[in-house]
Amino acid sequence: MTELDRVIHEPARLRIVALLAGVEEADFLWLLRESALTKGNLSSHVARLEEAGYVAVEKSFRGKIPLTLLRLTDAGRSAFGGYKRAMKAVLGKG
Amino acid sequence: MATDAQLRDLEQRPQRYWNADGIPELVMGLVWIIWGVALLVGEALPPGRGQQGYWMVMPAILVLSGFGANWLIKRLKERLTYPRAGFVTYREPGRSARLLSAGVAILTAATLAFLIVTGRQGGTEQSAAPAIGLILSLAFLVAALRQRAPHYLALAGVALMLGLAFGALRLGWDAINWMLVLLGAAAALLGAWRLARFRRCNPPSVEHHP
Repeated sequence: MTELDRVIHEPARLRIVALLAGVEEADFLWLLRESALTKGNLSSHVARLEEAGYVAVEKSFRGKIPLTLLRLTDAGRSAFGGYKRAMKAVLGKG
Repeated sequence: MATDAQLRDLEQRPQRYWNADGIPELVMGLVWIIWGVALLVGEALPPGRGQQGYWMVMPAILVLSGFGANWLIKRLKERLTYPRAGFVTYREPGRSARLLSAGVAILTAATLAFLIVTGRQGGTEQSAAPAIGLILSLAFLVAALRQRAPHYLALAGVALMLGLAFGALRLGWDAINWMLVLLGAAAALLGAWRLARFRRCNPPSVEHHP
């Protein structure tokens, strides 16, 4: 049976990765609104994805406002692509 | 377990976010009004050097205003949208997507030029307004479906109605310029209304990061 990536397979993290797959980078606020997760939940899942090397986090300031930018790394994009292929195989579409 | 459709939906959210605030319709509507008025002024100028000079610079103005519109949309989003609903950098389209866009643009321009030249010769200018209304309407319909932006259906209806109305009025080539002005006004009004609603629903965020 095809192995599914456990880091991405978790529903909240899959949502984060799928959202970031459609952009070059996005800030925490956008991800918070689109994922409908709580701040704490989103932070912990982003930390797990960062730890796995799938998401890069860059903290900076825009004027006086803190800005946390997130983007999917090459490894993250590749893992997401692999996950989708694995899912299709599991569901018998591959 | 997320389905294919759910994943696709999530991946398409950024594209829908681009259309969420009404700014693209507002700016494009204003650009179409400028184009329509500029073309009407060009048609109304008395023949002579002034008219020749006007038509020499007109293509540059049209092209520059197109690029300017893109720049303005991005600046307005940075000022009005991102502080309220989050910042996004969109992915650059790939080489094949760029080539496809360029191909469609060249084909459209060539078709329009052909229609105008043969229309002037063949006296079919009265059918230009309904034809262009139909083409624009179909383009808005495709955009509405592809980008899941139902508000474009309103513009599709306006384009079709304007095409039919100007066809009945038999204004000749001026009909197309008037169509640009009125369709631009409709798009700008729709965009302004959607932007006001977006701002009402999304108050400015003070700080959003843990």
